[in-house]
Parts: sequence; C-alpha cells; structure tokens
Amino acid sequence: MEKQVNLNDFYRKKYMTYQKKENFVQDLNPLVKLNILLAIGIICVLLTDFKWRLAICALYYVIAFAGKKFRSFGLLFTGLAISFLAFLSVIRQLSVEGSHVLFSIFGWKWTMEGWESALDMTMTLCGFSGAVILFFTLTEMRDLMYALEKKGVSHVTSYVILASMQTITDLKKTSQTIMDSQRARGVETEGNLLVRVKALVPVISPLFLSALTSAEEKAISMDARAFSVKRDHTFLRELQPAPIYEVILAVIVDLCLIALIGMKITGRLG
Amino acid sequence: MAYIELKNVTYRYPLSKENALEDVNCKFEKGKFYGIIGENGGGKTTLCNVIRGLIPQFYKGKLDGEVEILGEELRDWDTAELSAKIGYVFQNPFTQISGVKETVFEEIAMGMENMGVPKEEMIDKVVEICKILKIEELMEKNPNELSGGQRQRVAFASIIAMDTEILVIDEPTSQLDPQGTQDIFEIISMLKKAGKTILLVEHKIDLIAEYCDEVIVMEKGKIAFSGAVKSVLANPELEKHGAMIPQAAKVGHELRKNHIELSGIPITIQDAVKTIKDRMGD
Repeated sequence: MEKQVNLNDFYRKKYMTYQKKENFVQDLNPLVKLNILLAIGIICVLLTDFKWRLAICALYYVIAFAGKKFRSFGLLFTGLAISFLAFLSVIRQLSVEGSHVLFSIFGWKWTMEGWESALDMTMTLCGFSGAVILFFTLTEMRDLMYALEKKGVSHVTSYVILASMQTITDLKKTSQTIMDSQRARGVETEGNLLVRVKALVPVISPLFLSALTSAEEKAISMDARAFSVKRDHTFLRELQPAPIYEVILAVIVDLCLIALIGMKITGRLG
Repeated sequence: MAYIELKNVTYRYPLSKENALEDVNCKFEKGKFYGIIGENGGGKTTLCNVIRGLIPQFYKGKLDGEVEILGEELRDWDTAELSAKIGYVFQNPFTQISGVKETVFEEIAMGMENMGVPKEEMIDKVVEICKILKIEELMEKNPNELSGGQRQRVAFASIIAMDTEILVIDEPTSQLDPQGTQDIFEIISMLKKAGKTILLVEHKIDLIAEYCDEVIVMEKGKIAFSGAVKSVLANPELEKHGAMIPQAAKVGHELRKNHIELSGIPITIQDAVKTIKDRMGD
C-alpha cells in the first residue's frame, strides 16, 4: 500500500510540473532556441568579415559548453568543419584561378586565392550548419515536436517525424540481426570492401520488406491507441511556455538580423 | 439486444482467391467473455479485424453481410471513433510499441493522451495498470529496448489503460511463460468482472475452459462450433475440426470409453476432480 502512494506521488511530481533539465540553455523554449540560433546562423552568413565569423563559431562552442553539450557538439562540429575545409580546399584549387602560387604538386599550382576562397566558403557553411547542429544537440526532437504541436502542427506530422527517427535505429538493429544470421550460415560478412558490399546486398530486400510490413502493423497499432480520434489531446510531458525574457532575447537577436539585412541592402556592410 | 452482431458475413482479402470468412453468423453480448479458438489460418484474426472495423476500412477486399456494432452498422462507423470504443491488442508485440515515447510510462499513457484524458487521472491510471500487470520495474525503461514478453505486457497495458467497453485481444500470451499467461488471464477475468465485453483469441485451451463464458471454434473461415464453453469444449468432435479439447475433457472421454460413466464431461481440472470424486463416492 505504501508503495502505491510513493509511485503515484513520484509520477505526479514528475509529470504535473513542466519538464526541465535545470540548464538555462537546454531549457529555453524549443521554438525560441530555434529562432535565436537560426538568426545567428544567418547573421554569420551575412557578415563577410573573417573575424566576425570566427567569433560566431567560437560563440557556438560557448553556448554548447553552457548547455553541457560541449563534447557532443564539439566532436560533430569540428569534424564537419575539417571535412568541409579539406573538401573545399581541393575543389577551390581546381576552380579558382590566382597569381599567388604557394606551391605546386606535379605542375598543379596551389594558389593563395584558392585557399582564401576555400576558407571563406568553409566559414559560411560552418557558420550556418553550426547553428543547426547546435540546435539539434541542445534540443530533444520530442520537445521540438511538442512545441510545434502546441503551435498547431498536426500530431500526425509530429508522429511521422519522431517515428522515423526510431525507425532508423530499429532498421540498424534489424540489419545487424540479419547480418548475424547470414554469418551463422557461413556467409562472409567481414573483410575488404568488396566482401562487405557483397554481404550487404542480400540483406537489403528482407530489410525493406520487413520495414514495410511493420509499417502497416504500426499503423494499426497507432489506430488502436485512438490516434485519429478527433479530440483535444492532453500531453503527459509539458514544457514551459516561453517566458517573457526568452521572447525578448529572441526579439533582440531578430532585430540584429533585420538591422544587418538593412545594412546589407543599403550597401553599408560591403 | 446483441452488443455486436454478424449476419452472413463473408470476406475475402484483396488478391486472395479464397474467402477468409464464409457466411459467419454470431452474436456477442455485453459483459461476456468469449474465447475464439481454431486452427491456424482459420479466420480468427480476420474475425477480430472485422469487429474492430479494420475490415473494410484498412484492409480493402470484399466484405458481404451485415456487421452491427453497438447498434450501428459497421460501415457507418467512423474508424477513429470506433478505436475509442473497442480496444484491440494484436499478435505481434514488436509492432505495437509506438516508437515515439522514451519510457514505458509514457508509452502506456499515449492512448489516453490521444483521448484527451486529464493528466492527473492519466498518471493514476498508468500507475494502477502497471501494478496490476506487475510491470512497475519497467516503467522507467525505454519501450524500444524491451524483450518480447515485456513488450507484450506493455502493449496489453497500453490498451487496457484506455478503458474501452469492448476488448478484442488476439493471442496476448504468445511470448509469455506459463505464470505470465496465467496472470494475463487473471487480469482479463478481472476486466470482465468490471463489466467489459471481451473477445479473446487463444490457443491455450485449458485456460479458455477455465475463464471464458462462451467459445467460438473457427475452421476454414467458418464457425464450426459455438456456444457455452461447457458444451462446446466437452465435444470430442472438436479435435476433428482443428481445435484441441481440454485435458480434463480428454480424461472424461477416456473414462467413458472404458465404460466408467461420469455425470458429465468435465472441462477444467477442478471440474474433473469434483466429477471423479462424485463418481467414486457412489
């Protein structure tokens, strides 16, 4: 009997209040967070000055640190930046012509102009994608969907997006199971690239067929949970509606963006 | 008045050459517990799908005859509204997890969220159901990482949490051990006592004999036998129609064959013990 009281109390405490992570950055309302970060991303694209862009990228790291996601954001973002830089360096050397030759590989001249162009493009791409990556590192998908649903997005859309995420995980698991059973039958699945590809091909069709059939059953099971009933839904997990200071913060960032666009249009930004 | 009634129902799945249901007539009354048994591919699940309204809305194909649910013709029902009236637990526990919730607690609450149940009520209900199903220790686990048996319990919990008047339950114990199976039957009979109408597809005949009020035996899309559990399950003909008979009934028939007359064919163990004791006391 005592246990029952405890469980009820525990879950009431857990769900009757707003869901919080006790971290200012993570607890920002998802839509406010999305607004702020996207605005910063666009600002970064508009500011052509190298120093500004670097500063904004540094700011991403700072925000990630404040949101206790420094490691996961850092790894992803830094990795992305390095791959962008490597890829664009080569591409730009091929496409940009310049007179300041730095060095030459078998007659292929690497120019200063090419480097600059590559760096500039990398910063642009990283400046924007950093904002997006940061947003998704700091926000749980279900929280974003909750906020969108509250704003009138249909729960079907929200379900489809959330379920797709889970499906990716499930498919990975299923493919692993199929691979294991292949191996148990003596099919080579490890070794060089060719062997791996050969092993993968027969996995694909059962994988997709099973995904299709399970999608059908999933539709029925969602239907069994009164998914399409036309009533107002309640939400077990609720997030705090954006408090006024969060809205002000978003508005300030938006105003900066608008000002910057204005400057860009009038030509004052260069 | 019958709660659910099927009259001359014939159904064929799309692309199929044979009828999955053929000329099915049956009635289900409020507050009774029906067991549906029979061979594999006999039409048990199809019957469930018709009653649940998935045929003809979800599965197309050709449906003839009349199906009346709560006094209204099936084709006039809005499937979504019907889902709030009839709870449906189906066979495969792996596809019954929504895949969008991160704890079992939230998973079980999902149906109620969709039905707009107030939050406080929802929390109490989930806790209650978890205690009944003895899955308290799963409440905080990720539903996508459970074993088959655990998922089956969670799927079952998710449906009974919705508190629908009618429950259609298709093999809820396929992944469970004997104790787990017994528990599920206990819970179903508890639901029956709470006034719910229950249609259960199951192969575990001894449990059917113990708990159900009426039994329907399906064979090749037709109803081979139907009626009160005692009269149907005591019928030795059952085995010729792809169904099993309870162990107690087997004992009864064997005794009869050996000219030991009993007062009747028992279908449950308790029944058998009593009947045999009576006979020995004579």
